[in-house]
Amino acid sequence: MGAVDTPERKSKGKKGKGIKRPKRRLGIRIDMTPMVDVAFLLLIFFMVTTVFRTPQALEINLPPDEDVKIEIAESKVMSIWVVSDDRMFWKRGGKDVPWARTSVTGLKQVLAPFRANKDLVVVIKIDREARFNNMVDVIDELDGASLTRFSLSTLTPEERAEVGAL
Amino acid sequence: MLKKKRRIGIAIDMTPMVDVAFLLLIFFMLTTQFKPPEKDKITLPESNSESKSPESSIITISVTARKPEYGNQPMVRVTYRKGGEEVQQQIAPTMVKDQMPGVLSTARAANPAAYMIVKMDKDAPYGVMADLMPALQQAKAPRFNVQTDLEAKGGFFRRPRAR
Repeated sequence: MGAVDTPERKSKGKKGKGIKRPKRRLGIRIDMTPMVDVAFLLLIFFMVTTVFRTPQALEINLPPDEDVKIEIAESKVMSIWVVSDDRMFWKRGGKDVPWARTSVTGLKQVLAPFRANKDLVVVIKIDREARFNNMVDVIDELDGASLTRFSLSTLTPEERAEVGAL
Repeated sequence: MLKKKRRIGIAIDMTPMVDVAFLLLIFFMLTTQFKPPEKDKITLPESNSESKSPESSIITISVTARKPEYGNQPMVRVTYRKGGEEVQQQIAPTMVKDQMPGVLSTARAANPAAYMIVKMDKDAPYGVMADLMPALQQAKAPRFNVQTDLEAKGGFFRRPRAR
């Protein structure tokens, strides 16, 4: 282990007299091994555990043709509308069903009963002025609930007025 | 005569090795450049997506948040490689509908197998994305990747979400 050799102290006033003393040792020697061990251990630890922040990607596949109309029964439709101040509303079904307020965190509970439901078609409508974050959050939640069929569009002024006052 | 006691074990002077190790460490610390400086900072939205965003053979469509320098509007840029050189085109958000299909078609002609990457600020208005999607369809690139950051919650050893 680390040993430090201190130079021997010479007693005063006996210079050049009597027996010849052993030669005074100069300098110190420190064992570097433990320090190096620790340094390399830390280096290796951080090298192994470091994960660089690489961006992730959400893959979106749009239908190849622009004007494809698909008829779907109203009862199978779930609507999620987002207005410009990040407020979110949802309902399942047609016009007579009232809107329910939700949020990004609340969406998880909303979607839980529909998990992996192949029949459900989610219609997402987001206001043009709403933050892009909303789209990613909604798609991410749908992804988490294994709902991969959804349509994305913008809110018309009438639709905005419909939920804006809620 | 008294025989000198024989020394057992060897002592290697570690100092030169440590010197070299630290020299290399300091060299790499000083010369590493983490990210080339970007023109406009884009804060990506967060998602739980596990798939990595491709890094080569890409056509990047970047959209900034609303910026005072651009008249409180976002700025749209398309970056791609053409003949070994990087080409960047700026498009005003209001012109995305009209100009984007043409720009994307040119970009795709230069990189037919490239991935489409949309790098959009989380605070950018959704309208840009709404205009971008039909443009991607028109440019025959209906498949695209929305770049996101890994969701921060979960801590150091993040548990992947059950699917």
